[in-house]
Amino acid sequence: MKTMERIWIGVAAAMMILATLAVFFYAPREAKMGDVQRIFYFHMSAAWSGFLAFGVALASAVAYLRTRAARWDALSHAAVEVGLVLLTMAIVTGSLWGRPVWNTWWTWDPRLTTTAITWVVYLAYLLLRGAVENPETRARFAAVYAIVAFITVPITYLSARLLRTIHPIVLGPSVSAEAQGQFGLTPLMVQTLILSLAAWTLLLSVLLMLRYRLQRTQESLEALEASIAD
Amino acid sequence: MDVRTQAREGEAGTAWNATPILRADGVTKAFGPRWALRGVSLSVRPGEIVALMGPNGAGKSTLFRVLATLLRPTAGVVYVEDRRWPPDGAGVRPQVTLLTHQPWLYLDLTAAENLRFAQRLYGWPEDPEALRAALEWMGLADRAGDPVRTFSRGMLQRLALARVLLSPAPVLLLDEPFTGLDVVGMDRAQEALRTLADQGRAILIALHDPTAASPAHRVVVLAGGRCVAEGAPQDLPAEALREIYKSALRPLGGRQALHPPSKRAAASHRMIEVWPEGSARTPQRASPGAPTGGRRELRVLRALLEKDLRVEGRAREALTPTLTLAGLSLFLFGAAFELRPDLARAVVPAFLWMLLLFASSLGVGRMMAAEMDRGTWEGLLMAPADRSALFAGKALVHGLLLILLIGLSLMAAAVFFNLSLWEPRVLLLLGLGAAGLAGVATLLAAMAMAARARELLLPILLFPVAAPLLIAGIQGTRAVLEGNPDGWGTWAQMMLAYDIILLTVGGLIFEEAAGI
Repeated sequence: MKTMERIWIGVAAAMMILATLAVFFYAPREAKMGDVQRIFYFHMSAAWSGFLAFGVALASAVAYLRTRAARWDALSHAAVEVGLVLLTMAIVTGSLWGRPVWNTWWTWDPRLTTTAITWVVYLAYLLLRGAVENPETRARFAAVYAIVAFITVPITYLSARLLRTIHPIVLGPSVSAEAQGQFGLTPLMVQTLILSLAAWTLLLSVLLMLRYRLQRTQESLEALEASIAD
Repeated sequence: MDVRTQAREGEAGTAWNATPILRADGVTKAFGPRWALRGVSLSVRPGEIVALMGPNGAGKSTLFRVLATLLRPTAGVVYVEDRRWPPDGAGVRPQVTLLTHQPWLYLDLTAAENLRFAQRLYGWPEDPEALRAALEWMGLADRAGDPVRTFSRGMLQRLALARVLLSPAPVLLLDEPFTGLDVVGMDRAQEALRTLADQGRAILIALHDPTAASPAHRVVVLAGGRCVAEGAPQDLPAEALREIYKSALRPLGGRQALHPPSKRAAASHRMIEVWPEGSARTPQRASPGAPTGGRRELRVLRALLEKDLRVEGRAREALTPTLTLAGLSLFLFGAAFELRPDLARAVVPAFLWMLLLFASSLGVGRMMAAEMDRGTWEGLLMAPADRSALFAGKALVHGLLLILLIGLSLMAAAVFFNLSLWEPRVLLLLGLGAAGLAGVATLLAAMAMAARARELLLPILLFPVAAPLLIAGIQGTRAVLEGNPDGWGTWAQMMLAYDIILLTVGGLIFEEAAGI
């Protein structure tokens, strides 16, 4: 078990290094934006793994309500925390990219706004957890909120497809004439992107595993303390 | 079966060898790392009164809430007739009537109105004669038309007991039923319990005071979350109980049966007129006759709507403050900005939408807090129907508040900003907004109001989830005002999709959000 985990973490680390090297040395320089476009690989991978984490949170919330097993609540909690960190990275890298390309750190574009809403919704999830004393009620409420909160994820995904936005679309054709910073992916770019997405997904799995284990350890510690106090 | 139990059986027609109707099997309840119940097993047969005694914090109230399906046991099961909880809480609920420390009464309704609401909510026979008789038995006949707000603690308890008398449920769970009662009230309540038992009800009462245990056939002592002793009431005098309470501080291996149940002193009881002797109005088992297929849900919805509108009509707890605050905000906004007409046209609609969101948070928060603070929320949760009916009821009432608010703010916009928004498409957008807000705010308020820092938590939960709806509403309204029909339609469709998704999810999941 321990060895398996070490291999898992090792592979994830190697993939992250490889993906980072590919971003800087394998992917071609984008014609209009130049080197700054390379942040795209981090930006999109962070956003992808962040939203994937929220998907994990949703699935574990449903599993918790079905089984009432504390491990699903722990996984849901871990997924929201990790997802928030990853989404923060997506927003920060997007902002860094937006400054040279859009000439602003932030703009109230539908994609940016809906992403920010998602971020705040999941922050509220953590506040809700902090506001409920009884662990069982906390798990139940958190699961309900994780399910409701997920509606912001498809809204964010669709926002750049249904609304007028300046945010580029990578998967599929852009529907918005206003999109700025849109670029065509060359095969080398696609390969780098796939490598990055795989590496970040592995990173997500490692972070989830570690955060989940920490949560479970904390729970058993609390149970031990309570049994001593008994 | 020994001779004594046979004699008892002949005397009142109680089947002492009958299968227990209520059975708890290894019920365990943990609140996080703290154990409230550790494997409690007990059973109550039809016609039997069992007193559950125990020191403070023994787990009596927790056990009652588990038995009544208000709390889910960590382990173990409860059987009521052939229904098993968990998971079948909805099947157990109609069979059980619970009396808690909270009287579950609405202070702005009269005594009779409170009882009528219970009859309708729980699907009991809506018999005005029975209602009058129950009030009379508990000595409240001359106060039937008075608002409960004017009642003393003991009178509230009498009224709560009158509600129990109206219940046809085969299992009665009464937590400290004699609290606050005077001598006469106590006598009446005890006599009522005997009569109900003679009708074949299974009655479990929680008590501190051994002297109040006289109607009980059997006493079970709970301490430290375990059943530690069991016996006839006379075998457990106060001194014996004190010893048990003390020794319960040490964990005990199992239950000590002190003595077998002995014969209760025969007494000829005057029958309570709620269920007159020989009348056909014997208690009906709630389950077989109970309507199904959504009819129970509709009945609960109707009861809830009537009750909420009546209470709100008298107290105006949510309506008046919300509308006043909305009016004040509009006034301050107008006075502070002195908007030119063209600017007003661009900004005021967005402000009205914001106002709707804030008012929703305030109004729904007040409505749910009122139910929870007075303990009446548990009473609603005991309604024998799918809890989506509670969701629908509360969301509807909240939606009505929002519609009133919309009407008033549109008038205010016309008067103060010379801005006419009485336009079908804007009204449709506002309607979509109000529907979605009512649903999602009700769902989130059910959780937030049960949490810490609840007034602050509710907007934190609600605003981001409702933000897409709000943005779509503002953009759609702007599109209408700018004469952009295509833009308007897209926003309306998005709002409709949002409403459908969240109202469906809300109805499905409210069960989990509403539990205590």
